[in-house]
Amino acid sequence: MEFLSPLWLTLKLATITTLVLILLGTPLAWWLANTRSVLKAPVEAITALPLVLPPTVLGFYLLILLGPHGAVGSWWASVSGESLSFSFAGLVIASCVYSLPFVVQPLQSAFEGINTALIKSAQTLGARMLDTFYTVVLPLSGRGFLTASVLGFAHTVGEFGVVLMVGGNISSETRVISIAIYDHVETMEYAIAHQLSLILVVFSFLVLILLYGVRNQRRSPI
Amino acid sequence: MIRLNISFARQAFKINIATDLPSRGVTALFGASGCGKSSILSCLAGLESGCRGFISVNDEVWQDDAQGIFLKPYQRPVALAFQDGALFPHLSVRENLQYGLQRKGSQRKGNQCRSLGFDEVVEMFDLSRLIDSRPAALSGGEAQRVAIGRTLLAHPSLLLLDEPLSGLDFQRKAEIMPFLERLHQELDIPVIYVSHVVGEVIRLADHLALMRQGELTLSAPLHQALLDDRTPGGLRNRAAVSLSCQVIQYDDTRCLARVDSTLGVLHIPSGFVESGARMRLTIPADAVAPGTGSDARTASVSGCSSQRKGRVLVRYEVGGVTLFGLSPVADLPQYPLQDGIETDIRINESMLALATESSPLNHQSR
Repeated sequence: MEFLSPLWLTLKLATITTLVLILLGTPLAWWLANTRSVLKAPVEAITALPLVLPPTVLGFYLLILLGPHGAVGSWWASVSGESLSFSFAGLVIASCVYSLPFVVQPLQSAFEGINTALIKSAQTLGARMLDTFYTVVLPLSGRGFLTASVLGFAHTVGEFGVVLMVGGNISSETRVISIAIYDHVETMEYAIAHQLSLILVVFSFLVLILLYGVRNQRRSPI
Repeated sequence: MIRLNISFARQAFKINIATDLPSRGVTALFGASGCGKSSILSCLAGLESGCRGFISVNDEVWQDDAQGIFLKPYQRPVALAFQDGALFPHLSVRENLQYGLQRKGSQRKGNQCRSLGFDEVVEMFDLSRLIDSRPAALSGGEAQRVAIGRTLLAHPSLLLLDEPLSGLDFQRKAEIMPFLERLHQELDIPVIYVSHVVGEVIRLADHLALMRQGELTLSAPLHQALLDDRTPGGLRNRAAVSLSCQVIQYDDTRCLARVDSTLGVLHIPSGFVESGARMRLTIPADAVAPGTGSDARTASVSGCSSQRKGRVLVRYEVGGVTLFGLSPVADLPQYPLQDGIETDIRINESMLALATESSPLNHQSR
C-alpha cells in the first residue's frame, strides 16, 4: 500500500493544521467579533488575504520566510538544527496561513451572532470573561466550530500550490495527496492517479455530507 | 441611598444624570423609548465602559473615576433582567436559575437584604412545572418569570428591571404583574424599573424618575411626582391608589361585592368573589371628586397640581388613606386649593375595581 502514504500524510497534516487553527483562531475570532479598535479592519484584511492571493504568491513569501535565511526559518534552524522549508513542520505552518480565513471567519460570524444580552446577562450574574466564554459563548457557537473545523480541514486537504512551493515533493515528509496525483499524472501513471483522485473525491463528498447533515439537524428546533 | 453622577455620550445625545435615588422600594425610570433609560441600567450594572462619573449604592462605591474605582459587572451586587429575558437557550430553566446563584449568589452571604433560596424562587414565580424545560419551549410570560427569578437568585442588593413587560401581550402582562407586585411587597431589595408604560408605573412605583433626552427632569416620590407640572398628563390622568380589602359578602343579583377596607364598607361591581377573600381595591382618580351628600367624607387636601385642560389632580387624606381625585377646576371649592383645607369628597364606588391580591399565588406561608 505504498501509494497510500501520501493519503496518511495529508490526513495528518490536515488534522494538525485544523487543531492549531482552532486553538489560535478562536481568540483571534473572539477579538475580531468584539473589538471596536481601529486595528480591526487591517487585521480582518490580513486574515482574508489568503482567500484572494494566488497560492504561488503565498508560497513564495512563505518559502522566503521559512527558508534557512528567512526570519522564521533561521530562528527554527538555530533552535532545532533543522530546516523548515521542505519539511513537515514547515508544511504545517504554511497550511495554517493558507487555511486561516476558513477557520477564523466562521468562528467570527458565530461569535457575532450571539445575542449580546446573553453575554451581558452572564456577566451581571457573576461570570467573568473566561467563564462567560466557556459557559455561554462556546456552547452557543457549536455550529460555527463545526463549520470552521470542516472547512479548515477540507481546505488543507485540497491545497496544492503552497505545498508545492514550500514543501516540495519528499516522500512521507511533504508528499501530500495532491502533489502525489500531480506527480503520477506527470509520469503517465494514470491508474494510481485515478485511484488517489477517486479516494479524494469520495472522502471530500463524505465530509461534506457529514457537515451539512449535522448542520441541518442542529437547525431543527430543540 | 443610590448616588449617581454619571455622564456618557450616545450617538444622538449625551446622558447626564446627577441624582440620589432611594434604596428602598421601586423606582420607576420613566420616559419615551430611546431617551437613555436602559443605558442608565447598563451603567449601574457596570456594562458601559464609556460611562464616566460616580456611582455608589448604600455607601458602597461601585464607580469613582476620580479615584480610579470601577467594579466589574461580576463584582457588583446587582442583577439586571433584560427586556426579552435573555435566558440562556442551551440551558434548562433549572440551570438558568442556578447560573447566578452559583456565581454571585454564593459569594454574597453578608447581604443586608433577605436572600431567597432556590425553592423559594421556584415557588414564588410558579416555575416547578417548567423546571426542566428549555427556554425555547416557554411562553414570553414564562420566560420573563424565569428571568426575574434568575436575577433574584444572584442575591442582588439592587435589582434592575429593563421593561420586563414590554414584549408581552395584554394577557401575559396581566399574568406577570402580580409577580412584580409580590416582589415589591415581600422583598426588601430596591428595584429600578425602566418603563414607558403609564399603567405599570402607577401600579408598581414608589418613586418616579422622569427622563427626557438623557436628562433627568424630575425625581420624587410617586405621590408627590403625580402633582408636579413636569409629570406628563398621561401619567397624571391615570393616577390611582390601591388598597387591600376583604370581601364581606357577594350580592349575586346585583353583582356587587361588599368589601371592608380602611375606607369603610364599600360596594364594588365585581364578578363572583368568595366571602372572606382578601382582594386589592383600585381607586382611580376619576372616581374621587368633591361632593356633598349622605355618603360624603371629610378629607383634608394635602396637595394639588396646577390645572391642565381645566382639570387638576388633588391629593386627599381620608382617615389615614391617601387618595387622588381628578376634577374640573369648576368643581373645587377654591383654586388654587390650599394644602390643609378640609373639604367633602365622594368616592364613586361604581368606578372602583377589585382584583385578586398577589394572584395566582396566595398560599405563601409568611
